[in-house]
Amino acid sequence: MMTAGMRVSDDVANEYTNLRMKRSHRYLIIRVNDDKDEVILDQVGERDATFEQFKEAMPKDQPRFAVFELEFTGNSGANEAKIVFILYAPDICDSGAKFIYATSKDVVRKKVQPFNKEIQVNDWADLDDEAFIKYFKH
Amino acid sequence: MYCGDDVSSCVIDIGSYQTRAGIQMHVIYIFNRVFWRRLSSKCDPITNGDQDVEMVDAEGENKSRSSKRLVVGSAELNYKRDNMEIQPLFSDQGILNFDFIEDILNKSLIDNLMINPKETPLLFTEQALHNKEARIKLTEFMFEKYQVPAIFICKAPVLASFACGRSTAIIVDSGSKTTYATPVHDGYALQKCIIKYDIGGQQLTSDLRTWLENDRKIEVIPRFGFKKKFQNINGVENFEVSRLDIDGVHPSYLNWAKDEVVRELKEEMFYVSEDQIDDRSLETIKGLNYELPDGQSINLQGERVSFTEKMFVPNEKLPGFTGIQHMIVESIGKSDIDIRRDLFQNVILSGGNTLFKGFLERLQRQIPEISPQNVKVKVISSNERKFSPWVGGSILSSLGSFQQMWMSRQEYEEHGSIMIERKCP
Repeated sequence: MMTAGMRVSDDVANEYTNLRMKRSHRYLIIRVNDDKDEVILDQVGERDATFEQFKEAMPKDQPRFAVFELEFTGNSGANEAKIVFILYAPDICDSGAKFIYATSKDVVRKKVQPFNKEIQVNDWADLDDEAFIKYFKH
Repeated sequence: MYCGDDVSSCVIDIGSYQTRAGIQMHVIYIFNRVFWRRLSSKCDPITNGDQDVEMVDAEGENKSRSSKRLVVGSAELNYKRDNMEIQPLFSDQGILNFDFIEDILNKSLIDNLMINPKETPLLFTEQALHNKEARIKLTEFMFEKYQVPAIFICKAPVLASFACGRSTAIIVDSGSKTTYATPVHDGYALQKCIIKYDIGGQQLTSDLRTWLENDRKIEVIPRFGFKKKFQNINGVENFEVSRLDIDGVHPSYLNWAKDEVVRELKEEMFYVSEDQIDDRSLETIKGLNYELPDGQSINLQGERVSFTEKMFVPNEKLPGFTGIQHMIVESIGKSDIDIRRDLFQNVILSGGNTLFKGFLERLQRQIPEISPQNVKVKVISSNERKFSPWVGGSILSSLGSFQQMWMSRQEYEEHGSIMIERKCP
């Protein structure tokens, strides 16, 4: 993978562990800092937050990384929880910002292991939990 | 590791039609620093010295090198010289001619961008198909000949997909000579899935010229082949066109100059039909008049779409080619089953040949017809798609965190040129 050599803050990995093991968060929103040399934690979602609240917390016109824990009823009727890793890079923002997020995706992904599915979203309308759940239901 | 603070690096994207080179400053990209360059042109010794005194002075050292003098650049190219021969930078097999590249780089870096290659790291783009020998040769050439401090080589489709904010996508790169379909996954161009056909803008231009000359019996006159004089006789304004003698011009230069006239006609008048065309739909197309530079008028109707249609239907000259939409679906079909859905949602256009009006709509309409039924197809294009690899390279080289990725001169001296394979996967 060609990367741009971005550093990732330790918060990201720590809070991800809290999300996954302690189940204390619903989502994490991760961004690149203003100096464009480090990936930092932007926002953390409460455990009872919904997907709509997550969508409100996301900026519409700026790229972000996000981790979200989906809960839904699976094919067998049992409740399932799956963690998705999202790269949100809207087509409307400038290529410089999109480029930074696309090249540093790999380093962020390594810090939020393990997760169930990686999703690349490029449009506000595609940020949709129904569509994400479809990846796990066949 | 090359860690110069505040480096301004230069991005060079060599194409078969033009080479794009530019300096990256603190802002992300500066378009007016991009220099457009025609193919390298080779010039025979010039006998009529009068007009060329200045030129010889400016490039005096080139002349002493050999009896043939290389002239590079669109400004020089548009100036007619007798016996000037044009030679392409790439051979028919797509191999770079290193004799010419030196002159192109000299011209674009030293003369036009006014940088010193000894102080400036250079980022090159390369075509999707991995060619180990070519990149090793380029590395050696740059370090030995230009003594550059650092170099990086990156695949053009990877840069184009990153510039669109995607690390997984399929890039449809249609240039002047070739069309590639390259799936990119996590920043790697998937070598086994690349599909390439020799169809591109140059092919369309030469087809159009053949048609104009054979079917319409129109003689294409290059811009230097006539003189236009403005007349005002009793209030009636018109231009008087008189032909000039063009016998001394080398056939290859004449050929190129005629192609340029036809290319402008193509870019101005042609578009891609929304759906597959038949005889009946051709009649509904609006006819338009086009005036060639020498005043000849051509009426074009169905031809406005029938030439571009060649990119979407089987072609007897290219065995195996059944249309760009089939190329894309076939290339996705070769890739891993897990990423196919993502690839269908991220079809990215790149290259000057995709600038035809309606190109995107046509693909958006035809890919779903031949793709699996439950996938969503989305074709994306950016306004800068004519040189998106250059834009991507320019952003990449401007990132502060990228500066540790360059292959530096020290590394070259320690490990040799093979190191480029490890530094730039």
